[in-house]
Amino acid sequence: MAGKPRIAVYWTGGCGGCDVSFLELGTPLLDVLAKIEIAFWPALVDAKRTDLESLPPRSLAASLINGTLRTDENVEMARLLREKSQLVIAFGACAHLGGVPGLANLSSREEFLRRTYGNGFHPAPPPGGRAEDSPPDLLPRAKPLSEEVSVDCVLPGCPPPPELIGLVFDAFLSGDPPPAGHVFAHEKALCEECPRTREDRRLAKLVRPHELLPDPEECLLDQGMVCMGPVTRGGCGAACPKGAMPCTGCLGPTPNAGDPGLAMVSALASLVRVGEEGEAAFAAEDQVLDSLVDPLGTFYKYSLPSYVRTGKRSDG
Amino acid sequence: MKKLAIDPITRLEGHGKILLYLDDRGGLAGAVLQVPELRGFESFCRGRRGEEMPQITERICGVCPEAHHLASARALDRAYGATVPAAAWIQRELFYNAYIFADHLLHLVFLGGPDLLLPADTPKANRNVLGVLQAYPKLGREIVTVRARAQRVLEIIGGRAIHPVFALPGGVARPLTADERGEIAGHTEAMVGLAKMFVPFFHEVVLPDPAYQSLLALPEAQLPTHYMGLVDETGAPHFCRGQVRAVSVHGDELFCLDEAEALERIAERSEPWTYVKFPYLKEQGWTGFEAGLESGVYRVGPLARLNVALRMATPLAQEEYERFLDFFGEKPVHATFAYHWARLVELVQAAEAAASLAAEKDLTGTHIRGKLGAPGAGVGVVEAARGTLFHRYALDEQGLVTEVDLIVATTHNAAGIGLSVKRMAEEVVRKGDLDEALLNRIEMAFRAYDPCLACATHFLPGEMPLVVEIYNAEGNLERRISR
Repeated sequence: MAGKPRIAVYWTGGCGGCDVSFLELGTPLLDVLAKIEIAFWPALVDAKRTDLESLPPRSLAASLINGTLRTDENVEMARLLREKSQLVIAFGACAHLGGVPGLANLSSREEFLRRTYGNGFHPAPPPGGRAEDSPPDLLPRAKPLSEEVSVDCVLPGCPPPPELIGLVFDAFLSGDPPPAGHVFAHEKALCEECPRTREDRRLAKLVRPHELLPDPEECLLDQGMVCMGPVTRGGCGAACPKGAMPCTGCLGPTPNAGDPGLAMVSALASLVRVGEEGEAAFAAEDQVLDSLVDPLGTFYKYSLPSYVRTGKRSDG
Repeated sequence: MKKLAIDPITRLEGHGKILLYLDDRGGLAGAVLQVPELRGFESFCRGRRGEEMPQITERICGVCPEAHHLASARALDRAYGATVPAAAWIQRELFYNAYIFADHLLHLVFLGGPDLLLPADTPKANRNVLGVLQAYPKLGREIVTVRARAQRVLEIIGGRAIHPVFALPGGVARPLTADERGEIAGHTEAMVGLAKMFVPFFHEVVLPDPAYQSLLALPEAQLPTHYMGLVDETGAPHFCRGQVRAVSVHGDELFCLDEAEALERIAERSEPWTYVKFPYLKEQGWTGFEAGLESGVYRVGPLARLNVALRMATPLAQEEYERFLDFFGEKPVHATFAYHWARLVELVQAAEAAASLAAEKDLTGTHIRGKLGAPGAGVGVVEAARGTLFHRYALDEQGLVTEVDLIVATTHNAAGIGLSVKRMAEEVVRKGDLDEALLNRIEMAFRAYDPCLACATHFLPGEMPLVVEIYNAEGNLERRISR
């Protein structure tokens, strides 16, 4: 096995979808697996934490880390993998921007535990165990990977589409690693690859996906659905709009968009104002934007910990 | 007291560790499977848009997002008082059978499979999917290819294979085209082909292996519990509709109810040393971590579904089911390692069912959205690959979520898994020198269940009856709180 680059794949507070997406490479997966050595990947191989700890620093060519940082143990493992790896890749939306579990930051850690277990729950060791055998403590709030360790590049998406995972391995196995900070998705917006026809029609009313069976050819925003396509990176082939459902922003905002919520509000407002001026434009804007339900959960579904500061200052 | 940790436990979905405590003479004083993660979906789902729930809750689990997606849609169907049109039902059912097929295949080859398909003394570095592919290159390649085809069915119908987007309250996102049906039919035929190839392989290679025979017969791996699963109107297992049937340790019917009533029969308790909860049957009550007729501990998943069913729904699956029952000679089957075989029986049914649904005329029907009433509350149930999955929501007048309760497959099995691990640890510790291969034997006990610990810890019902026990540093019970 000597000479093959050794890699690790690890999950923190994630769902495992990133790991499964890796397997969705299908038969090309077999070629990738033949060219690398998996040193640590709890989903697939039996190496344990002690095996990882015994490796020399920087002996892994790359670690792909997915999941939101949610517990002390997640942070310990991320730091351990950082120490052992030349490259650390934030693998998927949770590691990239905080992900869906990042929505937990809408309430405090205390409220979160209370709601989950009722009052009076404190983690403790099993009968006969020592203090260190307690389940790990929850962090005060969920965090993306880059808040705790330096990240060399990002493979975004929820989960990252297999084609993008393929690109990472192409880059990596060619011996030509990506530039620092590279994000393996398009710089341009998802709309650029969406087959639906967009006319930037005036937006008179918002509709929710269960309220409308959309026309199969027309842009979903033109039909009144809150589609995050204009502010989200392309790279998935516009899978959700092709499936008649709006983009929810899993590949993260384009470099131009910046904060996805601000960018989306501004995109919607400009569609409301099409053909309107002055007072009428403002009134129309208020009416449409006021009808938005759950804007935080909609605009920051995958990115709340990266863009929205929540809770008391002392929390974080 | 000496502690031995297996950390992390591997070839499963999610985080877990096994802690073994040995006394001074080397005997087993305690063994637990601890789940050290918690994401708290039950907390942050409140306030979200109801129609988003199929796409939010599926992020509980990337291995079985399809199960959460459809359980969520079922809860929303009920919450909106909608009747799902035939075309939408067929899309959902076809999608769901493709999922069961792909998920069971994942376990038989990538996760649990290496324990069965490779010799017990296989070095750790090879005891994984790569070892399986080396040992069975032809079958291995066929499996990878056909699994990709099943995933393609999920992608066509679901919009995406992982974290699908198609299910909505009262129906699905869009109609399917005739071309799409054609492609799907080709894939489902390949699925049936693989099922037909896998069954003889199992009987020629896996089942006769003395190592598997001894696991099936191992006294420590017989766990007499109650069982629960969904059955259709003919008594066959159905993965996404029907009634929830529970049978006792002796096979007597405990109940057969609609989902909302069945949910009322379950309570949960929590332990401070793990983030997973332990459901039990209310009527029997919680009598501690023990199996048997008096205990409220029950199991779900492939073995449970075969135990609660009267027959299988499709011909080849029925043949395999009969071979399964003949082998054990009694029902319920309590052998934990029979979960693997049960998974194969179900894989055959899922392939056959998918193929027959692909031929349904209404698959390409355009009436795909039922009429929605005012938003309210609803319970949805499906059988995830690992067992029964309940979602219950309440929505406000804007259709925003105000309450969320879920009981997921691996949570139902949590007590059973803990018991299996402990018994296997007893067996292994008795054998003496705890080498790596023996420790893996303990892991094999939980792998039989194909647990999904990410699923098991990310929701905890807020409204279910709950008991919390707090221990002091010496491990003595200090306080008991019930809700």
